Amino acid sequence: MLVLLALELTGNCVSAQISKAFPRLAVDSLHHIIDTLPQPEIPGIFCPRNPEPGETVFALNLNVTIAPRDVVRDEIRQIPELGLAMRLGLPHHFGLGARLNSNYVANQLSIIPSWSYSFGSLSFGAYTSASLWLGFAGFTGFNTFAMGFSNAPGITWGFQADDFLVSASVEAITNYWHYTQFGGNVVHRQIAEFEGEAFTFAVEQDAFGNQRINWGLRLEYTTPGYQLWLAFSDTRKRSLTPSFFFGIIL
Amino acid sequence: MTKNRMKQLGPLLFVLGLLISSSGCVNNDILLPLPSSDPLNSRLTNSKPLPRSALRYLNGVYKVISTSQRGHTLFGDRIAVKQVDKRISFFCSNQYYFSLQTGIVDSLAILEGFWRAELGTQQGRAVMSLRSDFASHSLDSLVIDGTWTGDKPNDTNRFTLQYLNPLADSNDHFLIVDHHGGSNGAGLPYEENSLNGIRYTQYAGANAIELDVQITADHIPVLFHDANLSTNLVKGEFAVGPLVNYKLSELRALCTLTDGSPIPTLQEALDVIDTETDYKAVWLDIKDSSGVAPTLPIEIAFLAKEKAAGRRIDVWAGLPSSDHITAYLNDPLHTQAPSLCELTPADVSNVNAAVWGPRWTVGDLVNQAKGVRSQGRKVIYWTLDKPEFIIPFIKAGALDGILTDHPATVGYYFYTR
Repeated sequence: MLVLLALELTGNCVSAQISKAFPRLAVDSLHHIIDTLPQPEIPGIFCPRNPEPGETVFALNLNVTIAPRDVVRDEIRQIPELGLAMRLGLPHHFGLGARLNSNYVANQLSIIPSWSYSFGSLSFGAYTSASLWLGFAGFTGFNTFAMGFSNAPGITWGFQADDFLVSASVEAITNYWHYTQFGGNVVHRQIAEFEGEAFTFAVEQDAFGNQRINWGLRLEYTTPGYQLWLAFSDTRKRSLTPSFFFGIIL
Repeated sequence: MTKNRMKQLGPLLFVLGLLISSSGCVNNDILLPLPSSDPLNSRLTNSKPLPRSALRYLNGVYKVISTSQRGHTLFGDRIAVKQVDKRISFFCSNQYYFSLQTGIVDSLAILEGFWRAELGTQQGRAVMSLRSDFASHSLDSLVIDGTWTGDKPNDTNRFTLQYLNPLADSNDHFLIVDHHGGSNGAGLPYEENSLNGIRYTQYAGANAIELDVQITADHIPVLFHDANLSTNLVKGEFAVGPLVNYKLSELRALCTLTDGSPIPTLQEALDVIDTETDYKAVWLDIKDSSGVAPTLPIEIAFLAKEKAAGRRIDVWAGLPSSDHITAYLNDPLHTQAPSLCELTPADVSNVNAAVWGPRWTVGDLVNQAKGVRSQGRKVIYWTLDKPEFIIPFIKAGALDGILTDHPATVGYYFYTR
């Protein structure tokens, strides 16, 4: 959070710094260009720009993760999830997001404080996604419960073109804690392990009339993530795991 | 592109992406070659063989009394040493193992080979020695001394082991069953369910093996895990779709496993197990219930051949579902073909299975396992790979084996318990 605050203060000082570094005419020209760019006002879930203070945005998504074969064999390759996302605008370009992805067997709740700054149609954001995941398996052959905690700081860029909000983000995922119960046995680990990186490309747009939709692709290059907990894979190899998402802004 | 068309792009790309990625375009398997040896510099050149009985004398838990800091980090402070066939294997605490060929040169017994990580890509060479008359001295004085090398030039490290105590089980009563027919989970550079995988996984700690059985269009059992051929699993651009649609001759003509070897038949695999390995048991994981009938005659013929030769390798027809049980009980040969039932203890009794194979994910089931074992049956849990999950099962007891992708890891924790 301190980092985000520092970025906020830095952002407020941008004009002053530009004024010192460049001749007055160039600064005026730059300000003119920025001022004439259309200001993004369309709320989004994935775009860097946070909603106005007090404003909220909700989205309902379908996510489908394609599990790497060397983790899950041929048993289940496509893992669907329902996703509910929320963003709340806070003063000084801050925001607070929450996401719940769930298919009952694997569920993850993320709290995402963020800060963003916009230059006309362009925007930039920094965030961290603190996640608690829970896994339940009580069907035949399983009497297992697992949970874990991870954190993924990231940065994101975006731009608005007409009614399209296009964004790209990158984040680094670290696992901090892992608990597994199988029958009457319990094991847990408390160790910080870097899991890998994730890249997300998202588009938010009008479709089907005036309905706002979002769609995109998330690529995780990580050791097996929470969606794959039931495979109990011990591989330390990172695998490329794509997830496709499609949803509506509520 | 018009704006309206652009607006339909999102849903279209979502569906298209799903279709492309579902075809299985991602394959991360690495078949890393074993560290190469230099025959000209091998200390085993012109060596005399060490008898198996002498090698077996070396079985035990050893303390690492001298190595580099990295050696302690990689291999830990205690090592399980075990004779396997004509070799010696070391099983280490941090999921590393050594496989060393043996021989006598002058007055020294030489152990020479490689070490390797079960997870990851670290590996290197090792040369150890001890006095050749070691078997005539007390175990307490047994010291194995030598070096291991890393993957960098001049990375040579001292390695000295001293005997501590016997292995928890030197007679292979406890079965360490390798998953997927010699899987590369043991860090071997061979494809799963390949003949080379079967040959070499024993050196990584397995004393039993699970073979995945699929049936070809001409009803021949072959070793293959998945129901479908795909570019992840085989080399051969025209080999796609259900394996059951291909005759054996077509499979052989159209594709190989990704390591270049042919998809083996069950008969070929059992022949290798019989003549080239020390395995004590074979678990036939028959993937589809239609495979039970073609598999049982091969199992029965193999058991008869072993019996006639005065050897004993247990072979069990795997019964993972009620469909398999029905197919098994409906086959008149089933009374001659021992089975391994994965369902409940009641099902195990009903089919008179030799082994109960519960998933580990239901917990250790000690009381039920004791009941099953009291009927003269074995209990083998599947598939345990992580040390944190393996240890509670070994501590709980009431089990006869563990199916695993990492036999050296199970070996370390079982033999040193």
